[in-house]
Order: sequence, then structure tokens, then C-alpha cells
Amino acid sequence: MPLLFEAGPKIQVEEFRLLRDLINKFCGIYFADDSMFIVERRLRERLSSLGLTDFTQYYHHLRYHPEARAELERAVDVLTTNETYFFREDYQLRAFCDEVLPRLKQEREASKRLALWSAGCSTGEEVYTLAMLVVHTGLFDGWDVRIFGNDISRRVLGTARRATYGASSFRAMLPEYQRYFVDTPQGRQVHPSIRALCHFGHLNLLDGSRAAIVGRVDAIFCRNVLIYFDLESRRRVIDTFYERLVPGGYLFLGHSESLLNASTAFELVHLSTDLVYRRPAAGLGKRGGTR
Amino acid sequence: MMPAELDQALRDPDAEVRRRAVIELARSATADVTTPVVTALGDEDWRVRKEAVRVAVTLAERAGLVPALVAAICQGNNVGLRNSALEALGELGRLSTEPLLEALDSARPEARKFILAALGDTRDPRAVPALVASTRGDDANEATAAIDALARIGGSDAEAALRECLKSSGPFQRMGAIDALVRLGTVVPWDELSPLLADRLLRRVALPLLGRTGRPEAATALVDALAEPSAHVVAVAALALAKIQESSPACRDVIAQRMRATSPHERARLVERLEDGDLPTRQAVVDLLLLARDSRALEGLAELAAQNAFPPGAVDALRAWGDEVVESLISVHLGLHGSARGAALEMAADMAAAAPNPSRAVVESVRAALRTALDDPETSIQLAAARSMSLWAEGEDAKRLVALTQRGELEVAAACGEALSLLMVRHPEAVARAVDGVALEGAAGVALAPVVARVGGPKALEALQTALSAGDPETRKAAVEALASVGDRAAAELIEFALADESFGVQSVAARALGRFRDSQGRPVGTDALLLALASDSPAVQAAAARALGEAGDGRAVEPLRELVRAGDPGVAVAAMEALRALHDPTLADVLVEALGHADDEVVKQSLRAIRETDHPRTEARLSVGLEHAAWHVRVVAARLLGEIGGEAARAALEARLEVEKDDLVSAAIREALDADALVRGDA
Repeated sequence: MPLLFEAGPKIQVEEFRLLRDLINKFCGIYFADDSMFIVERRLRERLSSLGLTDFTQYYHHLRYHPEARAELERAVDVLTTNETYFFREDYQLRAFCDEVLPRLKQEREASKRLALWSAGCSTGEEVYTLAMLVVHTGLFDGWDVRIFGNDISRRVLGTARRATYGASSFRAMLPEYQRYFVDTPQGRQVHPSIRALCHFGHLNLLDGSRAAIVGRVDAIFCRNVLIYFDLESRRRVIDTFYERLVPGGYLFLGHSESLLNASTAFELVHLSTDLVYRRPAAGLGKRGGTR
Repeated sequence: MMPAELDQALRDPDAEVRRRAVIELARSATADVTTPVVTALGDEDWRVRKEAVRVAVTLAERAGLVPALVAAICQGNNVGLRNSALEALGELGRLSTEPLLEALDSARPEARKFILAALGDTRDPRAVPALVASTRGDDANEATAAIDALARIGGSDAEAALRECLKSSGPFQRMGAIDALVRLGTVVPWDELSPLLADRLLRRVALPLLGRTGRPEAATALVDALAEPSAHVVAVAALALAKIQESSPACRDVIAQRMRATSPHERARLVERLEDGDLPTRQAVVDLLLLARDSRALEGLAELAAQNAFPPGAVDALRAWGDEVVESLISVHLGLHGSARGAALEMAADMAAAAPNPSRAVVESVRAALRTALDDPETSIQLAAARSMSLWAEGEDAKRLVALTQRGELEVAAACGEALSLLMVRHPEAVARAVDGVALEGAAGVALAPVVARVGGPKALEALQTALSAGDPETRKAAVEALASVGDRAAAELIEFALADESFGVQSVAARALGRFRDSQGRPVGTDALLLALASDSPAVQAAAARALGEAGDGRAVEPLRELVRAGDPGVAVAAMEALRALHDPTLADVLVEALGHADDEVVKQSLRAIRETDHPRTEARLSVGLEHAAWHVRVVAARLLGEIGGEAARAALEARLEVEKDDLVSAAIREALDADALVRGDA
């Protein structure tokens, strides 16, 4: 199917809204009205794969088919941009490395346990980046280090677990971290010592109760994920992050994202190259709500 | 928390303690909440203030907080308190309007602008007359605040007042009015805008308004603005140019001509916006650079293509560029990453294919690039090449494509299969040789089954029959689909067997295929098997069988289908309803009334459609029930169907609903229906 001149079913406004609402309810992602054309183009391949001829049939499939849930995941997969790369937004990673990790080292010395969560990890580059940063500091040798990555797409999780990447994943690669990769015929693979620290799971961020499998974490990276969510879903996810973070734990959002209008539960921490959020360490000692 | 504890917590030095105390405040039995809420609204910590706003909004009506909030915006000591109170009053909307209007007359001059701002935040049209009056006052600050407030309320009275302000002698008022009209999306005629353009500051603010005029003079002014030093202005001008091009081909010609004459410096400034612009800006910039035939547009275009976000005019601009653009795209793709690289390659292939007479060099260059890309280790590049091969493959590529189906991912294999199917038209022998003896398993099986079916003959039937026994259900599904396209009796029997497959997915596909299947006399086959499938344990199979029976037109299906409408799973009920409509069941009416009350929206929609097709004296009344349904999309369907029927009863129902309808799509559907009704009656 040619890219420039492709033809296929046209989505009607009602179909768009029905599909948009269904997807929003499923995973929190919200498509504004001006995304209709993009949604149409991206979902056409799903219609074609399922042998469906219009978007109403696809809506019915997502509502009634026994495999509707799996298809919803596929729809979300094609509708979202999953492309990421190692050391993305490195100014933030520098702040994490130079200022947050030393603090965490001090604060968690007694337990010698460090847990990080990359929420919406896509193909896994961020999870492995965090693992490389932790190892490279040398601060946590002998500690129990765990980095958890989740995504709603099983396809991207498959790629993450394979840990083998093409050139596009290395567009912002830093030379001193090259040693954490090994060359394979399929591409460059993350070194087993780094992979051993990383764990992946299939998790819908809206499913707050299931997020308990992540356990309590010291920092969460959720960058360029919440921008796709509507306000209500964003609040739900942020509540989950609050629950999962230990008191004093850090939340890293994308450079254009903030908690303004979404939550007052986190305090702002000024680092030398970035502003990050932190679950307050102090307080009444019992939960008073996150908003 | 007891009142005393709460009071103490609200004064605690720790901001987190105070924030939680504010949350408690909303739940507490404290008699006087005004003082603590106002104190919290003026807290030094933003998190406490933000929480206090939420609490103030929750308690305002019950605790009579609005006067205290109005007083808070009029005080001049605590800016945090004022801003929080403004936010709360805005969220309270109409509840704030009257107290604010009352306070406006008696307020100190320095407080009046905050009251005007708060009136704007209420978005209450009742505030418009007072705001319009304030735009005419002597105090520029107050007039500007009123203009800004009008922009937040909108409406025809506000817009008229704002256009009047364009003639004002005050530069701040004019600038504020332009900005307000931009925000409201107002179309201001060129004649009203052109006098403002002599002032450089006003011109910069007015760029979006120029983009709405559809006038070539405005297009020229917008291209001139691309030379402005501010990156923001360049981005705004680019967006306005995108807008004006959409509305006027004459403007597009003017812009194309002017863009080809722009300086390298101006284009470089546009290229910078590809780095930092949002999606609409990048689309607009790419479009302009394409018109300038600047090859840097192609990288940006490839990035946008990878996100399925082509600028609207991109294809025309590429076409106008000619053969040269193909080589440029091929060259550009080598420097890109991921799906953008694939998109550049695919665009090169598409453009060369669309060219009326591409040169031999271009053709060879495209084929060479595609063949190399088929062997690329990155899936996105393989996919792009495989998709383009549907236009460019030659006989010698058949084996290469078949080989890729066997090592590529599902999506790549599918694209190869499609390319091979199309290649069959030009080089059937080459394709037949390439697929001969290939095992139909996994991704290759899914991709090649339809190709094998097109090759035809006893060997093909044998291969597809073997594929029906493949371990992978996806291959078996593909084999069933392929057999349906073979179309002979033996194929039909094989598909009937597939109705007993252990996978419900394969059974569903088989049912669908049988619904379409006709023997050499055009008669449906397999209806007995489909009737049995209606009793399947799987709703998906039941639904597929129901639809297939509807297509087959077998009257024996009516009774079991009616039962499924009543008792089936919602998805099955929808399918059964569709089938009954296709079968023109004359006794459907009684089932439909019952189905109108079904808990599932889609069942209700189907029943409305079926009611429309019945010849019942109470059709309008029954359809009107749908206008009151809780789901907006059910109301849309009901409105359309009533519009189709027309007549006084339908019109009355539509008009009554329009009075109270809140959903924009439903309102639009009702208006269209009323127009259609008018046409039916010859009123138009």
C-alpha cells in the first residue's frame, strides 16, 4: 500500500469519537478532534489485517470480539509513537546521575536496595539507560538494584526483552557507555550484566491495583507518556505513582510535562539542570489524599 | 480531625502538613470555613494554595464563600491570595457573576481590572455588557482587561465589540483586541485589518487573522513576516500561511512564487523551526520549504510521514518539484533513522511511480534502492521497501519477496504478499515459480496463501488444503480466506470443515467466507453448516454465522436469529439484527420494540435502523425514542433516520430535541435532518 497515495476506508466523525472514547477508557490516551486523520491512517492497517471494511466494523470488533482486549492493545500500539533511543533527554539523566543517585545512595544505605520504574518504557531503551547509569556511577556495587519497565504493548515489550537494537536507538549514545553492549548478527545487544538488572512487565498504567506488582520504588521515569492522556486519566496515573514511590522518591516527567492542575501531592525539587517532582518525605504520617 | 487539630495543622510550618489539613477542611464539620480557606488561598506554598482553590470551589455555595473571594481579589497585599481567588471564582462560573458585577461599581480603580478578569473567567454572557462598557473607558489597563475578558466569553456581541476596538486610538486596546479576535477564531475582513499593518507591533500580533482572510495581499504580508527576527513570529506566520493556502488556491500560487524567491537565510530560519516547532508548525514549515523546493524539507517531511502527519499540500508540492525530488529523497533516506528513513524511501518510490514519464535513471535508481532495502537489517526499512515493491517489483523480484516472507516479521511478510499478488498481474509465471513448493506456515503462510490461490490449479488447492492443517491458526485463517477466493465446490467443502476447527478464530473466518461463497449458479453454499454455527459456544462465531446467513439470504435463519436478538450476547444481537434486516424479515417489528430497550447502545442503533425500514404507523414515534437515549451516538442515528422519513411528527420531535441538546455532533445531525426534512417536503 503506497504511502503517499494510499486509499482505504475513511473514518466518519462519529466513528472517530466512538473509537477515541473506547481507547481513552481502556488506557487513558486521548485523541483530540484534530487527530482524526492520523487515527484514520494508523488504524487502517488494523482493519486490513482483520479483513474489515469500515471503522464501524472495527469498533464492533473492539467492543464484542472475544479477542477485543488484545486488539485494543494492538490499536494503542499503532496509534502511539513508540520510537525512543538510549540517553534520551540527557540533561535530565545527568541531573539524575549527578544529584539524585548520590542522594538515594545516602538515604538507602541501610537497606542497600535501589528500585527504579520506567513507566511506559516502550522498546526498553530507557530501562537499559537507567541500568547503565546506575552501574556506571559505581555507587551501588553490591546493592540489590532493580529496574522495572512496563508498557501496554506486548510487541514493544518483546523488543525490550530481546535487548537488541538497530542504529536508530543509538542516535544520542554516549561513547563511555558503549562498553555495555555486545555486537550480534541481529544488531547491538545490551550486555547480560545490565540486562540482569532489568525486568519488564505488561501493565496498563490506568490499572492502579495491578501496579502493585512494581512494588515500592525510589524513582519513576514517565517521560512523554502522560502528554497523551486526558486530565482525569493523568490524575489516576499520578495517584498510582504516588502510591508506588517511597516517601522522598522522585518522579521524572518529560521536559514539556508538569503536574500543574493534576496533583498537588508532589513537591518540586530544583536540581542544577532540571526540575523534578518528589513525594514529600515529611507529613502527618498517614495518607490524606494525593490531590 | 478535630477542629482544634485542624486549626493547628493549617498553621504548621511544614507545607505538606498544611496541604493535607486543607484537604481535611473540605470534610470537616468546622462551622466557619471562610477564614481558614482564605488563609490557605494566600499560603506561601503553591501546593497548599492549589488545594485551597479546590476546597473553595467545593464549599463556596454551601458556605457562602463568594463575597470573601471577591474581597480577596480586591485586596492588594497578597498576590498569591488574589490569584488563587481569581482561579476559584473562574471555576465557580455563573455563581460568581452577580457578586462580581456588584463589586465592579464600587471597587477601587486598581481592583477593577481584577474584577474584569474574573468576569471573563466566569465565561458568563451576562457579563458582556459591563465588559463592553469598560472597553470604552479612559483607563487603558482597565480597557485591556475588559478586552481580554471578552475573548474568554466570546459570542457575537463580544466579537462585534472587539472589532470596534480595532478602530480605537489606543495601541494597547487595539493590540488586545487583535489578540482576542485571534483567540476567538474570528474571521476579520481584510479591509478592517489592512490599516493596522503599518504598525509593526500590531502586524505581528495580527498574523493569524491575516491567515483567515483568504486574500493574496494577506498572503504576501505573511511571507514578508518570515523575515522577522523572532522565531515565534516566523512560526506564527508559517501557520497562518498554511491556513490561507487551504482556503485559496490563488494564495497558494502567490506563496509558491514568493517562497522560491526567499533568501537562504530566511529558509534557514524556517529549517530551525523543524527542530523546535510543534506538529502543526512543522507541517506548515515543511509545506513552505517544499514550495521553495528546498531539499531540507524532505527530511522534515519524512519525519512527519513516519508519524502519518503529512502536511495537506505536500503531495502537490512534491509533484510540482518533478523527477529531481525522487533522487533527493533516495539520498535523504540514507541519513535518517528508523521509520523516517523508511518513509523517505517509500515517498521516493511513490513519487517516481506517480511521475508521468520518469527517466530511465530514476527508475533504475528506485529499484536499486528498494532491492538494497529489502535486505536491510531494520524491519521498518524492509517494510517500506516491501510496500513499495507493490508498485516496482519485476519478475526477477518474485523470489526475493518470497524469501523475505520466510524471514521477515508478520507485517513485512504481509507487504511482500501484497506485492506478489500485484506482480501476478504482470508476471504470473515468475510468481508461480517463486511460490511453487513453498511451505505455507507462519508469517509466510499468512502472506502467501492468497498468492497461491491466485496462481490456481490443482497444486494450489493442494497447498491450501495442507495449510488448513498448519499448526498456526493464523495460517489456517489465511488458507480459508484464500480458498474462498478459489470459488469451486471442493474449496467450499474445505471451508465447511474449517467450521469445526479447534480455533474459534478460524471458525469465524470460515463462517464469514461461507457467507460470501456462491456456487457456479450463484447460489449460496454451506447454509446448513452456518445454521449449526449459530449455536456455537463462541459469540464471535455466532456473530459471523449470523451475518453470513444474512448475506446468504436463507429464510430458515429467521427464527434462530430472532432468538439471538432477544437472548444473545450484545455483539451477537447486533449481528443478528443486521442479518434480519438483510433478510427483510416481515415480522421483525415486535422484536424491535423490545430491542429498543436493550442495555447495549449498538443493539439499540441497529433496532432503530430496522424500524426505519418497517412500514409501521408509529415509526416516527418509535424513532423519536432514540432521540432521548443517553448515548450521543444513538441520538445521532435517530436524528438521521427521522430526517430521512420527514413529515410533521419527525420535524416536531427533532425541533424539540434541538432545544435541549448539548452535544455538538447530535445538534449538527439534528440540523442536517431538519434540512433534509425540509427538502423532502419541498420547503427549501
